[in-house]
Amino acid sequence: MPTPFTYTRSDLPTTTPQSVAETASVIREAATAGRAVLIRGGGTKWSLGHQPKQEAVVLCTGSLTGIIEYEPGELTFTARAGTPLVEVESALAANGQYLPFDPPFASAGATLGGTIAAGLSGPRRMRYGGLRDFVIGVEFVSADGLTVHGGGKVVKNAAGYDLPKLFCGSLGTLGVLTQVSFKVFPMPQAHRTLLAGLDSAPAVQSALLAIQRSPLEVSAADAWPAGVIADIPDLGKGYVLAVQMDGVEPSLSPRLDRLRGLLPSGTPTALLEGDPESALWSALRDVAWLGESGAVLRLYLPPNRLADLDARLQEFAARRVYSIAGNAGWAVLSGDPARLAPALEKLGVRASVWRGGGDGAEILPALPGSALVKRIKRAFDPREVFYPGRFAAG
Amino acid sequence: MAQSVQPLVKPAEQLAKRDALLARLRTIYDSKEILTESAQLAPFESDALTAFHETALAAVFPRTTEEIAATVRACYELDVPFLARGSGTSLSGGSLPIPGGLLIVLSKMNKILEIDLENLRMVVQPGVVNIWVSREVAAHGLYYSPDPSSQIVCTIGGNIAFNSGGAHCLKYGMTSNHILGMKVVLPDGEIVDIGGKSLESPGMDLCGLMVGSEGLLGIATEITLRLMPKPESVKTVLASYDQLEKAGQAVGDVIGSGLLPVALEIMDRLAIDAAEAAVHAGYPPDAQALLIVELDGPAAEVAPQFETLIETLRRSGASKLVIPATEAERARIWKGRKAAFSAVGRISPDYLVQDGVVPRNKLGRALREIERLSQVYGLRVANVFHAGDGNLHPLVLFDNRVPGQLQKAEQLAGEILKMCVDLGGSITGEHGIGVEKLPYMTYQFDESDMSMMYAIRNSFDPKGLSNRGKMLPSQNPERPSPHGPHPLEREGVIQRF
Repeated sequence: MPTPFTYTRSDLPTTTPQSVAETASVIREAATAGRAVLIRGGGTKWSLGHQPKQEAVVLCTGSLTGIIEYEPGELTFTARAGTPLVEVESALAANGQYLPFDPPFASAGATLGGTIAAGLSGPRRMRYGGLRDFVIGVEFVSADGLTVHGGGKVVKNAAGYDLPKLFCGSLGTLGVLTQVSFKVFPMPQAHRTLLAGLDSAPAVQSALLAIQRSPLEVSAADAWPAGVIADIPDLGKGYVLAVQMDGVEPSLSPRLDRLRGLLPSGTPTALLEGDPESALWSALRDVAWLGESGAVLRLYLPPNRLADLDARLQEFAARRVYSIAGNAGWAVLSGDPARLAPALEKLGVRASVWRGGGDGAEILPALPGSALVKRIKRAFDPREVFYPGRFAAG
Repeated sequence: MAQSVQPLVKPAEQLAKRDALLARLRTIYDSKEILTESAQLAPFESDALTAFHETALAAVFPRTTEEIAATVRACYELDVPFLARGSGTSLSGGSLPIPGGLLIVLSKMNKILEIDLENLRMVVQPGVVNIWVSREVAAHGLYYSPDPSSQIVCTIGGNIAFNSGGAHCLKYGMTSNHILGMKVVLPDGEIVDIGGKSLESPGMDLCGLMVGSEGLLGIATEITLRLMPKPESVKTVLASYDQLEKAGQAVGDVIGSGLLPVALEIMDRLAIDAAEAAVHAGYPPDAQALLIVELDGPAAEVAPQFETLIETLRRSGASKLVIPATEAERARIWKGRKAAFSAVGRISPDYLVQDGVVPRNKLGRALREIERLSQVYGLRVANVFHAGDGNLHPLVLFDNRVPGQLQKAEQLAGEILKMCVDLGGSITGEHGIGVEKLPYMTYQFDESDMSMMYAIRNSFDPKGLSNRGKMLPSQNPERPSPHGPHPLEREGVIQRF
């Protein structure tokens, strides 16, 4: 099953090392030959970043799979980087545990390593934190072909630089992840979703700010102009707000009642549970609504900029969904996404171009920390083995 | 008065360098903001790792990012090592002055720059004290989660340098999980902005790298913090056990029950004695170990979870459960726990604080091994720890008047750290490497791991000036003695974790 960002470069030579040692040989050979290496896990997020033009080889982690250590009482696990998310999620679920950062594209074959590299969390990361808050250890093959470790296997660790976090969002520009360790949490006993129909983007923003400010600890809060997500009950012609609450069953009803109290009186609402609820959050997480055409932006915003941003996106005829109580969002629009850069800059919003960026910038407006990224890239990859310029100055 | 390790006669080159630096500093600062006399510099000779003393070349008190950048550029051009210092509460010697180096004291950079109640963010300067953040927004029902035990004096800048933890990391994480953006002066004076106000940011996680880098990669001058709504309900229980091991086992039971406590803390008999002697926390007198468990969250969720917790603890063989009925009673339980470290001073003339991490399911093994080592070395070890995180804080008790005991205590502490690594853990959970744990870095990290860390360091700071001699074992300073409590700690103002 493809994602909106699926791997399409069957023209590139591909190698699939069977072990960490073989991975290291691939890197050493590429370095000697002056060939750039692109790393591919499940290929579910390939269109993010610049596409290769020079001669390049694709290193596929498809054989570096399997859970190495998982003791449920530890609330951690270690697995090879190419391990598919589905394998991990089913092992965790068998023990009543889960990945609270809600990683997308599991059913499309996304891997642990690719999830870290793309730095992407799902809508239900809201309550306990994102990907970066749950990666505790990495092992990777460096540009020199050495096996390097950062972090560890324990949940609390202040020794050395926090390389596990640095790898989040590095898109294969620092090294080949071969083994990763994560912290996990007990899976909430039950969950339920409240849908609400709101008239305008400012009303959505107010509701999300109130929810974020409340001590109700919601697990997700997304919103979109009516019609963007299919099969949602008719709650008016404006915007739909979806808020998920999780926890012990008896706590859900009273918390949902209080949640309704945060919305303007007379707001139409509906409850969603069971399969329709799961289907909604899968759709919001795996973003199939983005479709196959148009440029796709992942948006990063201060929640109180949602209404202003929404007005701009509407001018550009973008279809859009806001997530994590207005901290992030997705938008799809036709034409060159760089047209949005001045508007985004003015609003203090940033976007990464996940598809259709052409040769343009992959982050809009340009990332201010790029001077720092260049130093990091120099440290990790002085010989530029890991496709220089692939992403965010790395 | 601490002894200085500065050479009495400075080589001419050193003097010339000093004069050139001071001349540059005078173009940046008023003369009263530059300290050069040894009497003026004496208060900065140590941090909370009081065994170590060094005298800086000079100290300056910047007020702005630009002043820090100009200062760092001057140091860089003149090859003078430098280090930023907050309140000096590092337990690993992370803010120990560098001999011949400049001390950049951030006490005047203590402004709250922006309180953004809509987005739940606060932008602060690095010298802002941890507790100020929560106090500032308490009236709005908000707080800042990381709560190191020194939080009434330690600064946000220092918390960032060491990725400080506290008692509530299990559910909410450490400092790194609450820093969203920062302005950083890099070691050569370049100023960069990273992250922002959103919970998510594009590209590699630069804030993630900076937090916990112990001042080796730059100086954060504006920091964007994440605030959270205060939990609606907090429920605490104190469980006593007749064996330490049972308390350790109970930790596994609680985690296994599907609960996610905000805190899970253990104290052993010796630590209980010390806490009782110091603050009369009213702990059960016959307990061999105490377990403190705290749940927080929406009231409707915490109430049924607390019942599950009580049932789990009953089944775990707790001899007594104390459920505080009032906020004052709850505060008393925590007071004993938080005071345990300084309280150890009541039962031993000297002590070493350690900080290591083991996988939770190896806590029992780790405690047995510590007990064995304690007997082998003939020194008492008190245990206080963040059990939910597997974060041990053994206190090695000794008497410095007995010749050789300090060395024995250090050896014993070192063996405990190695044991943590052997069990699959880490040599530090929240205090950092500083100077104290330099000898153990290569026990945890192999040659390739270290070479990558050096490469990062060199790329940011080719001259190795920023907090030289900390975290990465290269220019390991001499280790003077003796150990003892920090003056603030002696007065009971701060605790050790």
